[in-house]
Amino acid sequence: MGPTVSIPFNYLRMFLYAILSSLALSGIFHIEPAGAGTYLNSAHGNSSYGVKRSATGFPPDYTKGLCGHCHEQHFSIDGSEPEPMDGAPSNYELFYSNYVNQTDNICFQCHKDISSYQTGGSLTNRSYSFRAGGWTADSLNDLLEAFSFTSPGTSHNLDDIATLITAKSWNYTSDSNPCDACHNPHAAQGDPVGSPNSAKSSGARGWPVSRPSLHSKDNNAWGLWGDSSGEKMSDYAGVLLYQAPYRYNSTTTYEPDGSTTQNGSNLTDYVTFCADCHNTTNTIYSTTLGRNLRTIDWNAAKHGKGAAVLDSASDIFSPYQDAQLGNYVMACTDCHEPHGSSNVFFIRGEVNSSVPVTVITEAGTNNGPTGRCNSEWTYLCGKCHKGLESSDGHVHPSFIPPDTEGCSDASCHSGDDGCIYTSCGTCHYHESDTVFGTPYGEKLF
Amino acid sequence: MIRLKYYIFLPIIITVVAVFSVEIPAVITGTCSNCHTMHNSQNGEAVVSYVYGSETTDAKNYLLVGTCLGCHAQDGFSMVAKVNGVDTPQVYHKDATGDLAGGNFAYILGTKGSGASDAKGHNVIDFGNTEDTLSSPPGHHDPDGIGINITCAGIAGCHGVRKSGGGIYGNHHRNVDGRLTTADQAYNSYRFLTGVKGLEDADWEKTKSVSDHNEYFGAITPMTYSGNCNICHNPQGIKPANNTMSGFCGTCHRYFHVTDEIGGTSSPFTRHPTDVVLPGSGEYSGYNGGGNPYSLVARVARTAVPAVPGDTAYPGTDVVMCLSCHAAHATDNADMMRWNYKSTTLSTAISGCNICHTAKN
Repeated sequence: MGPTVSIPFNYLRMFLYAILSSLALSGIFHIEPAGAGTYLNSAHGNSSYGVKRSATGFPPDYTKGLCGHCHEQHFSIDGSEPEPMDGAPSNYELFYSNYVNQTDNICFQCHKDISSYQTGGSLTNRSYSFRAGGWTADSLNDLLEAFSFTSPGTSHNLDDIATLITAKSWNYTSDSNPCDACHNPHAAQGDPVGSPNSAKSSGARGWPVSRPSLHSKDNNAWGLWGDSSGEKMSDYAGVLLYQAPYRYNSTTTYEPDGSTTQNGSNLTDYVTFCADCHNTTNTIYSTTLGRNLRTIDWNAAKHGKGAAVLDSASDIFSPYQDAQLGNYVMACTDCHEPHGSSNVFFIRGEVNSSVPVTVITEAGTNNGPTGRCNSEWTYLCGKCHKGLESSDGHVHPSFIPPDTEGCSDASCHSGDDGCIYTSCGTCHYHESDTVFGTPYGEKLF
Repeated sequence: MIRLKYYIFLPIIITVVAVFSVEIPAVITGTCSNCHTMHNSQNGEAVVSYVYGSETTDAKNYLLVGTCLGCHAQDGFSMVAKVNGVDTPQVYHKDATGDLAGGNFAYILGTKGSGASDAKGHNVIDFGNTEDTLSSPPGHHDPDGIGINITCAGIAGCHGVRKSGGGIYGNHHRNVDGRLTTADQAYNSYRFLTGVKGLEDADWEKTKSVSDHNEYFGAITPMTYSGNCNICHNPQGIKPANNTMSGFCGTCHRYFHVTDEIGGTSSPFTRHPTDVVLPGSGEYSGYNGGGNPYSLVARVARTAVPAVPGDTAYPGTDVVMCLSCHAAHATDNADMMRWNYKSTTLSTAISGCNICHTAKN
């Protein structure tokens, strides 16, 4: 008999513990292999909550995240087309047409709360106000709903998006799905990760968007936006300051993740992201508005990097501070939903900790919180700007062109309907620098 | 001076012969009785002994000592077995060390692998297993007409002459091994798949490696039907006009192959394309990792039949084919996949996809 080799018991036990711990952790958290790439780390490719089609004629034993849930390689499984059956194979081998119209495309076959092909028959996606704002009372719960708003609500117009991205040199084609303008389906992550019915938290962050201008059919080349340093709002602000709004009904926690971080280092640089399309040069026709969208130069806008001054009209609510006026840079998502809302211009239903925000006409002719007509926009502007309630009076600068009558200018305060307000949006809109057509001398938004 | 010239030209001659190597006739040269018996009687006993299942040892056509399955499906423990001393590739066996290139029908019947399943392979009727799922070859243009009576060879089979009265008859005698670039008859086609070009591995991939494998012929554009029945139907029987392996599969699974049904010749495809070039850019340029070693899991076809197996794939030149994902006979995986697409571990399930789709991991 040869010599026996004894393994110290403690080493063996440690080894076994390590193995068992790894197995347990991987089971609980569905840890992907070390080599996992963008797809396995995406929402669709997640082995725990990823895509899993449930349909007549579709194999129930395809594991979550498998390519076959979206792509039918032969338009035939076990000899026939599984549901949904549309009679002909679709581009990119998808099980449904890549894009049909505003409320009909491959994405909406799963991203809806009723009759979804995702296992369970329902797939929840919440609004930005819910996820970042923490307004969990928002009943909007799926993407089809978010893209189905019609007047007075608004949704990002997918036809218009398709038109734009196809015209750009971004490697999109007429076959592209406009949802892919902002989302890489093989990379996009949930935010929060895996908890669609929860608000974001710092421990469960994901990164959903990819910049359209960086679009590539190469999944390695078209990465996520916001997940890396240099892609945060704090980076965009630079020497200026991004101030995160409060979470809903809170004065101690902040968007987007309910933490105490306030400088945007935890927020995607949505300005750069949105400005791929909404910038100074792109002409974007809006079917919803029946006109071209206003171009936006966020570097010059007062709510952007442009000069803002502390004057008599500048009295703002926390967490914003008067002393910092001139330094603030806002993010698009501070006011706008990305997909759609019950308001015009996708205005959020919750802004800077409070609700309601109800702006359902561009001119703002409806009654506002105080019952005064034309005061609708104060729902939004009044979340940060003081002095917009009736009891506050209305403190504009005294000089408002074209005359010097200031607040008593008949154009502002003697409408035919007798309203004492004119809408905020009459003068204060993206890129505006005129009052009733007369140059004001500086940006008014 | 003469000797110097000899030394100069000898390597050139050898190179030319190697590069432009011709088909090597490998006709059967052994004893007739290895395969034939005159009277099926020897010492009062039947000589016919290579039979499968319930097949009898009665005298066989062409005086053969066995049947197709009797010789090639011995259900033994070796993937290459002897028939009267002759090495014979096995398509149905229990060899635990692996399978030959085409796969192993034993997975369908469950005599090897993780359990019986019709979906694991081409469920040829010769094995006597009832097909419970399909009623016709998926993608066939005349599903009611062809049914599911697929056989090893002949008009409803894959090997040999695919027309009425056809089959393997005579082809073993005229067989051409190795590099098949003519492919106008069954005997000079790849593995008797009439019309298919390719390079046959000498041991049917009993041993295989990145540089030891079959080579398949592909094209840069799939066939187009457009009402032209001749892409498959020929006076010699059924065979692919483009001589490719994928074209051959398309003779039964036409909708999975022809440009008319897969969305044309470029992205976006409506079905996974075959006989299209694996792109040389983007994620495909990383096929199977650095240096693009040839993958035995997600194989590529060549647009010219090489003289020797290549150990490297060339994105931008090599092409995708049916056998990139599927085996010909059967595997232990659903849908004859070369990897377990139905694994409960996602990274395993898409592991084969990721060899080409390297950024979808």
